[in-house]
Amino acid sequence: MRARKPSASTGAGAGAVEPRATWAGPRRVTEAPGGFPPALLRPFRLIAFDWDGTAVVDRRADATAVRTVIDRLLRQGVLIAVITGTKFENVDRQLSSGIHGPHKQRLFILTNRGSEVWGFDAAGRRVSLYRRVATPEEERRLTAAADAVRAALVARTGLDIRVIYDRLNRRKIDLIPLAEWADPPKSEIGALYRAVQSRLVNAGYTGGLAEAFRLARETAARHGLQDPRITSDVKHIEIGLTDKSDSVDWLMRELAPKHGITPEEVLIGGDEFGDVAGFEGSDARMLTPSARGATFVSVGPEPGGAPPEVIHLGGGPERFVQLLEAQAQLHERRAADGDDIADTAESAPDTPSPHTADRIASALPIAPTSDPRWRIVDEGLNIAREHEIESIFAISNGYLGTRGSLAEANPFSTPATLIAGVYDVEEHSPDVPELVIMPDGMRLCAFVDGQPFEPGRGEILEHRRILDMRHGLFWREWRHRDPEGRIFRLRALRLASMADRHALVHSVAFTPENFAGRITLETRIEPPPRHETLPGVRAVRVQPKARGPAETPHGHQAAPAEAPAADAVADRASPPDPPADAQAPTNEAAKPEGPRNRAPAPIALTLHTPTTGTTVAFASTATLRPEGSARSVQEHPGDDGRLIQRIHVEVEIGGIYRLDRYVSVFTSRDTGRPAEAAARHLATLRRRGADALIADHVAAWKERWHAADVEIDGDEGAQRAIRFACYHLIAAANPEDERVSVPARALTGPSYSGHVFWDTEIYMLPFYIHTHPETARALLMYRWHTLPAAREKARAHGYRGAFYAWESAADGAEATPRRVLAPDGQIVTIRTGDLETHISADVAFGVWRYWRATGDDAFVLDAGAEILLETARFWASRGRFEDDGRFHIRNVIGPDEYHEDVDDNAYTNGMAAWNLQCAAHTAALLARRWPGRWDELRRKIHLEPDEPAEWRRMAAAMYLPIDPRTGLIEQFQGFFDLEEVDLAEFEPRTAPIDVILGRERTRRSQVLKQPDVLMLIALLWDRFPARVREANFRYYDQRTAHGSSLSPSIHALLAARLGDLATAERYFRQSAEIDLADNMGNAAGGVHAAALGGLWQAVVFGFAGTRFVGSRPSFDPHLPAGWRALRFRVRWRGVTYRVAIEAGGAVSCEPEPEDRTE
Amino acid sequence: MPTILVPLDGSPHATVALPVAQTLAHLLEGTIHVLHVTRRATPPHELLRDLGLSPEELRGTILDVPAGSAAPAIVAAAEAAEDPTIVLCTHTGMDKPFGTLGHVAEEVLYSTRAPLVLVQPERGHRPWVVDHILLPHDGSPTTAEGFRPASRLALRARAELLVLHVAETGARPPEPGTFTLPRYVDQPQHEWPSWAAEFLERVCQLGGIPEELELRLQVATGEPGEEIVRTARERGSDLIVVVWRGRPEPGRARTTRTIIHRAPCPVLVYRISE
Repeated sequence: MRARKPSASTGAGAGAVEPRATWAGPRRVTEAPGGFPPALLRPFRLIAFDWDGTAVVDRRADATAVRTVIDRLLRQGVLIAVITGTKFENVDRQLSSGIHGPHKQRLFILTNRGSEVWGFDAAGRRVSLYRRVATPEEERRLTAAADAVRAALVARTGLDIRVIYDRLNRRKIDLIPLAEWADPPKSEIGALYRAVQSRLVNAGYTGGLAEAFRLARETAARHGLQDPRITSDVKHIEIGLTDKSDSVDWLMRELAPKHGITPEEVLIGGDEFGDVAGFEGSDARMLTPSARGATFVSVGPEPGGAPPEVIHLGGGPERFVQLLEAQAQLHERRAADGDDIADTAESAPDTPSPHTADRIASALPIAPTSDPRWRIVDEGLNIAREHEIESIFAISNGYLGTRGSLAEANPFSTPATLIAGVYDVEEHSPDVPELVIMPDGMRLCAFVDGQPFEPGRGEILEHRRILDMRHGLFWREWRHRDPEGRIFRLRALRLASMADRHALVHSVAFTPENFAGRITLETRIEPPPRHETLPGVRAVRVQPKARGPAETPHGHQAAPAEAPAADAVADRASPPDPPADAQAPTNEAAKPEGPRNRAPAPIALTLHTPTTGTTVAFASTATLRPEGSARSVQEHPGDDGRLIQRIHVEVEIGGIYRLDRYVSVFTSRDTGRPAEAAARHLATLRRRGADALIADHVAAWKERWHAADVEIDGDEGAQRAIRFACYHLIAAANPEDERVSVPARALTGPSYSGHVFWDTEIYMLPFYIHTHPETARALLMYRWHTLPAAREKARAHGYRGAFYAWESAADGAEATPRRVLAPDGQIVTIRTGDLETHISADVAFGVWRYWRATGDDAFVLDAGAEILLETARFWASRGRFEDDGRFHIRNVIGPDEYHEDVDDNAYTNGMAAWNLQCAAHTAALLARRWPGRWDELRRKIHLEPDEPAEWRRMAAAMYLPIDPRTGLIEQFQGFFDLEEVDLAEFEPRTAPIDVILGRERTRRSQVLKQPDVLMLIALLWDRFPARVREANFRYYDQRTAHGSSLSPSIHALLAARLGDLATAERYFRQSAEIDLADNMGNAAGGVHAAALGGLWQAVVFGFAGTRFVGSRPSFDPHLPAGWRALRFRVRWRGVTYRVAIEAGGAVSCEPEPEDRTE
Repeated sequence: MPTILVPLDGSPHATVALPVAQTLAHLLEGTIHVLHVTRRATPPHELLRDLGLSPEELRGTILDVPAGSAAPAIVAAAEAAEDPTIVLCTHTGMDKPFGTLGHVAEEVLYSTRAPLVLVQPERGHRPWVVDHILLPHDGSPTTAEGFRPASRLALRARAELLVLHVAETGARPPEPGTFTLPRYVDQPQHEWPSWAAEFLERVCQLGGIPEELELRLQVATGEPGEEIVRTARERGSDLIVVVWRGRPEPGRARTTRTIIHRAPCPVLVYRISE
């Protein structure tokens, strides 16, 4: 059943409340502050500038602001050149020592007034790129000239005049060597000038500084210096061999051409282009003929006026930083809009030949995004982290997911492809279905002389994996030297198509850098052998399918006697191509696939799950260009169920080659003939071509990001973390399949057996409701489809209504394992399947939340109401009225699973009461507005007339006391009598608290695993007075050990709402690090999908304080100190709102037109 | 061919190393070198008498008699030997109590890079059978690498390997890439099997442990040295393998010392090169 867009309608809410006015008028937060002339508002690719007085006030000033924005520009691929008269160390101290990473290679320091150029290597070490070396004769003449000038001045004035000799290629004549003018800042140049002038004049040198300048020029010429450079900073007169024009010449003649930068793409900044005190300013020499066409800008006062070719901004270093900030925003916006430029320095920082990396990059239609806020990068190859890297870098589209494993088989990897909804069981555990581990569809290995290119053989020269979240692509960049000395470089991308969920694409551009000869490229799809699967997960693997009549080629039915035993099937969905081993023509230039660039006809590998018998078909083919002498051989799947294709090609040194691999996947859940469908689909993929498939996929991701992106200005780590969360949430769910939900580890790993928990409805669903409602609807329909199993579970436990499975797989039957061997060697009985009843209310809450947010009455009438009513019926049978007149629910497990079999758990009771009330309200609403549909439903579920009224009575009488004095809610009966434990005494710790304390002591203490009362408050915020919310947060927060990954994000949300930003930020970072930090290790089995959903809620509901009370969302923001702005979109009642919140609290919330065009 | 070095100083305690060395030599197909460091040349028959050995006990072994100081000579002999393992009594002073490490043994411990098996004299001269090997593992990559010699031994002996991870309160992972107990256990019925298998997988991969060897994993909490000794006693371990970096860091040295001093069985100390 295809997903239907929620229908816009009314009536979902229970009374409208006017939203509080919490926002100001709209403000474009991305506008460059202060405004710059248009000539400065285009992105420059090379920005060169004077340092002292332009970028910083002086050499002692705090350079954090300018360094930060320079770092951003470098990361965007902009070349930065600092032109200064001082030495390297002075600039390094303020600037380059604080820049780290491969992007530092784009930074150049041109020192000693045109005499030196410094760059940086891949390790961040400075490298001398140019040095003007004076001859001994030149050194002698410089000294002689300076001495002569000094002597003349002393003779005329009797003043103390000194010469500084230790400057590279120049001598400095100090006209005012007084302590009070030892190192004057640029800002005091006026006072300095007056001091120097009066000193000279008062001593009889009536021409003052100007006359001294002329003296220096004449003296230098008289001493035989060819083309002497005479400059002055007022305190000194310099006689030198070079000046800033040499710096600019080097930039324009050496650096810019190497990077293909034209003068029009160059910005040169300074503060003294015009005359100062009658002679040229210190930056005047930067206006060189070689820079004709570049843009010049001055931020100095320019008392003599700036030359006409210079844009005079003024404003000093502060203004210059603003200009750089505007440039950074321009570049970042360009990158966000898809104008990525494959940059040599970033993608291959250590390459000996930059052109090779360029050519590799140009062989693919797209480059990885260069914006660090959109990428997760793993440098090198650390086998100790390989399993979690595979999870973090997994690609998926909700239909299937494949881990970010190395394409070549190796003992450290645990590759797996997982298909939503395909489960199987093992004989020894028939009640616990497991998500089946499918073949790795991305297996690819290159062989030379029969030896594989693989990380374990030879030397890894460069290795990088990149998760390009923006485009939904997994990149790999690898340069390798094999034991024989052959060097091979590749750049590869993989995708699980968001535009076509049955498609996987793998495109590899590669080059043999220093060898020629025969290479064999082998692609392979085969059932994973036991040692490749994730250890410890009771992995169920697919097996080759026995040939049967339904799968016979060409529709013919084979007689049983003719059918080979246990044979895999080859299906052909298109007319036969020439034999697979036909010799392809030679001397073909690189071109799109044509009739002679022919891959073997599609063949499907058909497998089946051993017990449930689901059929899974993989079809795969690869093409190579230029095909040259390529010869492709594809093996038909044999008894061992392997699909192998080998492409043999004679490669040339430095040749650029591109392999495109297409994989199509279908199962018997999709069609009765999955092999045929896969083969036919594969042919379609090939016809469309990899470039078009990539473009389709990128466009689909762009669409999803438009709705889901969250932008955080001012905290790059937080920005990357929230995008990581959104990326995996987008990739995890399939809006087109109502019979699957999102497992606890999504489709990134088989840990948790692919089971579905309350994680989906409480932690992940809000993200989908407000960014992609059709996905939310599909996830809730899964719960409707599994209602029969929930009814059966209730019945088996002696209850009525729907008791949802704590762990759910394909059909909704309870799938919780009954026992586990704990690390202390004890066998522990797992009781959550029987006692963690709040799951029913969680599902109902998800239904209600979706309905309120979308107004999708059709969904409620078709499915949602039935869920609400049946779950209420469950509560009505699960609890009972007792002698105190209260309705009690006993013997449960709440969200805090450290305490089992408790009475009147606050979260359970609170959510049950809500469930009962909501169901009663829904019954009344349906009866009033849709009486015909109501009658149908009522008859269908045999609802008695007095049930809704009884539900209201139960809800009203629910046991959930709040201490009037303290405002505290007791988590369960007797909680307050338990042992208090100071958790701080056990920090720092590397073990869960229940392991340290032991299960029994934990059970008898007030230590919580995760929010319980606080979870109730987070969900039903408005039902509790502010005093109660605050009191319970303070009480339970210190008792929560966060033994679950579901915990920190909720505490971040609550703390933010309560205005405790320090606490909120701490929890936010803790939650953000669950998968991304390398100190946890248990991302090995897959990413923590609930934690990712919680992180989104912490930002949108916590820091932004988004609430949905009336017809529009309202906001009560509390942004962390470092966040300059927060922007996102939320969908509410059929309208998408663009929200922008600034650090000062100003909020903009504008509805977005439905027919937006960008 | 592996070399099993057995330093003997002539004291009765020292010869407790012999049964352990003999088993090692058998399992590893190595040769025993009895090492006696002396300051004077001694005729062989007198040497045997001084060492308290009969000619039969020396059958199949080689007698090395270097001159000089004991510990440096032992270390030098190991450096010169092929694939050496030193088997040494912890202390030979008759009046020293259990749990002592003599000065020669201590000096060898800190100086040698060869695997060193320390045997408590209280063990006596009974034959040594290796059925159960205890591998304390802090989750760090270097500790995992240190299990290579133990896996070779276990394979030959067909011994059971028990990996013991002790979670400490207040401990920080000793090095990057250390795999500790999970910070989050969302659902123990899934998390513990996954974690345990991942932990053992890393041990196997980094430690080069062959697939045919079965490992078990146990977790304890508390002071590592105490927990290791307690587990060895409860499990009846025949050998404890300790991997260390050879530095007297307060925390790690304390753990190693506790094990050496109080282990109920021989301790194989494997030093990781840095």
